[in-house]
Amino acid sequence: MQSLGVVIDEACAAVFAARDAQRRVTTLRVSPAIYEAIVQGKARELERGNPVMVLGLDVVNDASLSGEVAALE
Amino acid sequence: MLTSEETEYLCRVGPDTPIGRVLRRYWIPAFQLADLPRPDCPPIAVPLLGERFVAFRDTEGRLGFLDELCCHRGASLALGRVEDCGLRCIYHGWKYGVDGTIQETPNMPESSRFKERVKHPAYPVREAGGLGWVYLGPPDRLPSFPEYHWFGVPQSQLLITEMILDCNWVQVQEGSIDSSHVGILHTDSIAEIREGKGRRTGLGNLMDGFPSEDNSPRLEVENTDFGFHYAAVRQASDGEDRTYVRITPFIMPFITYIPPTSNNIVIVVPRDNWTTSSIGVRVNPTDEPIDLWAAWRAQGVDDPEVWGPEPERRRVRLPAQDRPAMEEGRSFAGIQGIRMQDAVVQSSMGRIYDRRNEHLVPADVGIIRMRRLLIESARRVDQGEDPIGLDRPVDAAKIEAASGTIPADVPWQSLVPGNRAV
Repeated sequence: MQSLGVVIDEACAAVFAARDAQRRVTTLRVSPAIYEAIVQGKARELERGNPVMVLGLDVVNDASLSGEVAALE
Repeated sequence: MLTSEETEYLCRVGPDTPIGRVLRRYWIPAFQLADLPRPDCPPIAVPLLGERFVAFRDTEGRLGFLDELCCHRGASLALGRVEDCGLRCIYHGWKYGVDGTIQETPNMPESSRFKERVKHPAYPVREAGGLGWVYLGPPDRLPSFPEYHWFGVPQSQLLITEMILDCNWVQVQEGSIDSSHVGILHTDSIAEIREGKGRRTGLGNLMDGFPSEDNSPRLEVENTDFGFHYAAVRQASDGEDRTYVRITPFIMPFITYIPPTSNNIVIVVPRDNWTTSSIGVRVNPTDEPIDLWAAWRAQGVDDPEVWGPEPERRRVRLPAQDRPAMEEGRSFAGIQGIRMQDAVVQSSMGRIYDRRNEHLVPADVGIIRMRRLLIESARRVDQGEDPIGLDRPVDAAKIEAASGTIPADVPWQSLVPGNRAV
């Protein structure tokens, strides 16, 4: 099972590291499998026109990533 | 957020579930010793992790922890008689020892060898810190018994307050490692403590002076041998080169110490998927006698209409919000007492909160890390390994919470030297 719990924990640590480095981050890039899990979970929100967001970041589907890895930008 | 599958994975606690298997690997704080005060006192039913057990204290004062239903025809042994060093079922008189030995089967012929060949399920049980601790996991993986700092404290110096909530344990546990709600939900209680209002509890201070005006702390989380600890680091009121830190340890998978000291302990135990015991253990560090009423009032459990200390009254009957007090500016949340405030919001999330709908933010780092450790532990257990917190020796007595003001260039970890990072 791909775990959103793990991805979000990794991303959260990266957000804090970015803050310490005084770097502004707005986007979370995730693997297609994770993106699909997020979109499925947020289906009702998306129908209402809300964007796909996690930890206050826009989520982007990135085919170059795999597994429970996330990248910030 | 979590997917619905992940929420189910995280929240279900039965014996055939991933997290249920994880939780059964630890010593579980299962019941209050005060409920079994003397030899041969009445037994107690102990629902735990979706299963039914019975605890009793035999004629010689030994504790027994057995499957609740008699292995003859399934009557509850919690109805039983404790006598002659055993627990006797009132249905047909079968009698059990603390180790599950079947001592008597009066409705079988004397010649029957049944009782010599069959044992009733019995589990290791220990008493410490005002609680009965049990182990439900594989016998060959029994962990060493943790010696927490409060185990040496006389029971008269402990105040144990168990609140039973009608919701899943994970959302209750998440509340105990969620620092960012403290200054909001508990606004009234913090103000009372700061202003020295209310009757003294005799338990020392729940809060320190909170010497900071910084409402946006930097949060740092670090894995430890017992789970993790995290720090809320704020600029201190007494100078730009000093920080005020509050450090909260989470001891996998049931226990959190709430700063400023390690004397405010919150233990969260699932009774089943939809029922949770939230057990507060307050250690009295002073010689002052505990004022029970004041201590209950501070927690919000002083109204007998909503809670009582007796087993049958521990299930919280949620109080109505005091809307007039909110409108008149006398209360922020309209609920009296820190633990009742927590209980009301945690129950309001529903029996198992659907985490697809949540919007976590970085301030939820404690919650996020706890979920990860549980998920990681489930993976390890499924692979035949030990879960986090049991995979290496832990000096449980040294685990600590702390708060204090330190120079900005001093690591916060220096305040909690007993917490070992991994």
